[in-house]
Amino acid sequence: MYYPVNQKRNKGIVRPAIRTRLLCPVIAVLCFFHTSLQAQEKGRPWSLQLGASYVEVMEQQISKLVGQGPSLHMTLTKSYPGERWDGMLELQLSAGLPKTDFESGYRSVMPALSGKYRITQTRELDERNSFRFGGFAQAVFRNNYYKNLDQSRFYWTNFIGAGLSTGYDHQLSGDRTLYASLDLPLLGAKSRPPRNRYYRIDDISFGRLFKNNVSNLSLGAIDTYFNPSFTAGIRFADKRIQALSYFFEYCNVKDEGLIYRQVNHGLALTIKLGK
Amino acid sequence: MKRLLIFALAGLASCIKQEDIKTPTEATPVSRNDGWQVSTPAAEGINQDKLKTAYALFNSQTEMPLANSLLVIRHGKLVAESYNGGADGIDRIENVQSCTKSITSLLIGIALQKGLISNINTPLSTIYPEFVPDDNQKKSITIKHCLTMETGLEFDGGASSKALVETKGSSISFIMDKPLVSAPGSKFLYSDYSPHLLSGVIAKESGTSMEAFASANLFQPLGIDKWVWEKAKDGLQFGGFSLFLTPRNLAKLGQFALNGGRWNNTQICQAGWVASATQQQASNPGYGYLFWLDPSKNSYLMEGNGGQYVFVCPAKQLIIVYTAFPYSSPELWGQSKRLIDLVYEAAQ
Repeated sequence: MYYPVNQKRNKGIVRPAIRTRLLCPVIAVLCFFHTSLQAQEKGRPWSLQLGASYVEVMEQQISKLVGQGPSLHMTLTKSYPGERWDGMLELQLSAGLPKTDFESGYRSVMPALSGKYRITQTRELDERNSFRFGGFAQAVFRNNYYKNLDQSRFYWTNFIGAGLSTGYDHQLSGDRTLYASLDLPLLGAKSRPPRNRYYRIDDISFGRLFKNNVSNLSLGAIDTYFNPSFTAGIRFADKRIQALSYFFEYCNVKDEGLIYRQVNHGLALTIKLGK
Repeated sequence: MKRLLIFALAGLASCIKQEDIKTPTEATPVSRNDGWQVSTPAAEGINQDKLKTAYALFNSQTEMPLANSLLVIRHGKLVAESYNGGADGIDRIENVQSCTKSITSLLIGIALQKGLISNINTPLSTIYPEFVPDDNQKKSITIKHCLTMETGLEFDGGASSKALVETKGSSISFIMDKPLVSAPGSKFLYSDYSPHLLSGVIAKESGTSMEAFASANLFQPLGIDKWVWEKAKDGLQFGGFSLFLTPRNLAKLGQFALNGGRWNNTQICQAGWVASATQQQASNPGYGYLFWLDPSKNSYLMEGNGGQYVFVCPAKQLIIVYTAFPYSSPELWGQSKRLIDLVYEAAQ
């Protein structure tokens, strides 16, 4: 029996039943967040966080080479204090320019867009120390184009889901607070390119890009989508510059036996936009 | 505050360890029921130390970062093979890119053998007149011009290939509508368009697709049982790229060429076709009929993006198959051609 490999079978488009099963927990979490939001006050002014970092990336669908380079981040945040639960909306845009040791110039680009809504409750430990805990819902879209390594195709690592959020504040003298926070996605739907993509050149029309970005969905639990993000810094009350911080994000995604890994760490400055 | 900043800056160092890119593997081939006899380098007159040097280069993290496989065949037997990128490398089909062009050439040889094409000087305008514009020069483009990359039709590298992939109407019309940049038969211009016109010829003359024709007349006789061949939007397989094969099956096509188009004592290609296709036929002295030539070694090659190739040396009864990640730019191909020199020297 002679047969060509079935192309459709390898495209890895998730079946509708699986898609529903994956999205149900995400929708449930979003409903909880919506209910919590009802109880909150009008939000505080927006803040703008500008960050510069060092990014490393490994895309095993191509090779085990590691690309390294600078990355810039811009994040808009708005907090919604509540009686019991405090909310915070984060919208982030970032772009990295990694290159491997084998490339003479920076020709890869890693734009990413993410939205996160966090709800936390604060427990005072004593006069100076407090602890925050709660959860978040998040959608993150990372689209990488490695022009030297793969001239024909885009790569993406997307996630829509929810996780745990914790934080710790330590009041220093005056108006300064030392803080640290850790977010850890626990469950959601992830999207990666299928390993066998039988087309030589990606169709980069908007419709096709969008379709790719939500195709090949699979369950993203902590063992297949590990993406902790840690921030530590110093916060200033009632100042235009609200905070200086260090951030570290690790992302390790397993799919079809291959790994996408990204590490990002850098410094950020947070500025209050309104009064 | 100062301490915090110092701590943060100190953290700005490399985090992901660049893992061992390749695990050096034994290059000893395994015996499988896939039509390949296995042997040892010594039994086939290959210097093992020199061969080891070739495999050391193939496994080098710094020299060959995107290498996938290296196979050496001598006297019709597989004497060495190694795969990177996972245990499934031996069974994994990958895009052989422009090696596809040489396979299209072999299919033209088979079409000649079967009498589907009377001779290669046949104008395309007599095969699919509906796709050829009313232009005397374009009407004079022949099968031979396609085989020698001398159609004269404009082609501008990757952007032109992308346009072919994306064109929605007839892919043959799309190509034939391109302006002529030289008179047909006068100038060599390496192009993905010329072999694609031959895909149209085979489809038209066989009454089926090039893939179905290849399946029945080439892949099936050679025991090639797994492949993907990408198509243009009008359903024609790309004659110039995007055939996906396992490295062992790609090696069979090299062996088929070395055998002069014979397999298991059956002449599949027209007698003499491979000999003609692997001699200078174009104004470019390094090109035959969709085969690259290496006169210094009296050899010929199928070559594809990523630095991939099938090197065939009839005098030494030697075939070298090298495959790599197929979509990278030349900057990352490493010293793939150096592997040929090392294995060639090893074959005494």
